[in-house]
Amino acid sequence: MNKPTLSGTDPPWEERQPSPVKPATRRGTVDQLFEKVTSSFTGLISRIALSYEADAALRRELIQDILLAIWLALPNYRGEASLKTFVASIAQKRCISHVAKQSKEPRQVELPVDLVSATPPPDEIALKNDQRRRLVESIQVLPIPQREAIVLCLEGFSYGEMAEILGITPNAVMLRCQRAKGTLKSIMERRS
Amino acid sequence: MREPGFEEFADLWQVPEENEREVFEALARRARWRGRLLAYADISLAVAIAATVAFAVFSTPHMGVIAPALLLLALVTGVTWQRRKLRQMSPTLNTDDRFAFLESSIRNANVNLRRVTLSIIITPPAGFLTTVYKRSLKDEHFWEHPLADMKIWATSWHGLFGFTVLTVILTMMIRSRRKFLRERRHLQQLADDYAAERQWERETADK
Repeated sequence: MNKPTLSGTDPPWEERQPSPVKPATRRGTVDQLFEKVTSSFTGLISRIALSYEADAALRRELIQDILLAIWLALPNYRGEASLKTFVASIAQKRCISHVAKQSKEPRQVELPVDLVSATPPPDEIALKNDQRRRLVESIQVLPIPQREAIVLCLEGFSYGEMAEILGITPNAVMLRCQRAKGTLKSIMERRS
Repeated sequence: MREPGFEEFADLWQVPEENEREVFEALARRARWRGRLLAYADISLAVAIAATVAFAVFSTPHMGVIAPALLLLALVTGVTWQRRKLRQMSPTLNTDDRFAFLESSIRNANVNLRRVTLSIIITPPAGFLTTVYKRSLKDEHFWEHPLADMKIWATSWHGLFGFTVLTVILTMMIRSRRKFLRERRHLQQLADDYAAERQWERETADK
């Protein structure tokens, strides 16, 4: 299966299939899996939440909701998909529910200028911070179907994994990613 | 300024934020604590009901009490188990289909909307009937002059307190109803967005 990003360094999708594991019914196993989720997927969960919620306080609430949903769902995890796919799938759905419950969509809150780093930035870092802020703001205004595709794309999921998370065929994923990339670029151009 | 390509977008996107790990770990601890609390709350409620039932059986040990008690115990155990399973399932429900996920979310919003609408309709007459019932219990001559009695009650501190509580409850219910309406509208909009996206994908694939 092709990688949607351009690096091509990740192993092919077939090689990354996880070996089936027993259902995590025992609390000890759930604890271990949750530990793995919190240690390995901090960035993934935080960034998925960032793409749907610009307000920092609400985003923290959203991350906690996602983590609670993962904790509750872990006893049902049977290793059919990778843990990363399982986590991303739950995070995306929690975010969609979050957006549906909000009064406005998308929430347009000015992102802090030090989104990347709080240290006094030299010019290059300042430029990167500005680029990242524009990227995040542009992602936040994408239509949700395209937004969830582009976020998974940026996170380096393969088309196969994305198809599993989004419930569409890999071909449809490819089309959606291409469309989302085009929309994202045009939004960013408008904003620059 | 050079417009970054998609690979650069991915690099920019994946830059970790300051204090990200610390904040995340704190949130994870809280989520784990809340998850355990939910499980313990379910079990505690079941144990409390079972203890009450057992106490009733020991206080009055005859078949008329034991049979319904056993039935109730079986019901409580079953419901607690089901609640636990449902709570575990709901985050993963319909993972592989956004339409099914949105449909079940819309159905859920509709159920909530019907429940709160029914509550709004029922609460004022229920409050009125409860008051009439309570007044009639307190005053055996109530039914000789019900309107006059209710008028006196309405201007008393008890009456004012009752009206205030009823108003607060109704306001909260109306707010909930508006929230559910808004949620349903957003979900329907989302379902339309997904349908449009799928339509575009089909048309493009056919070309």
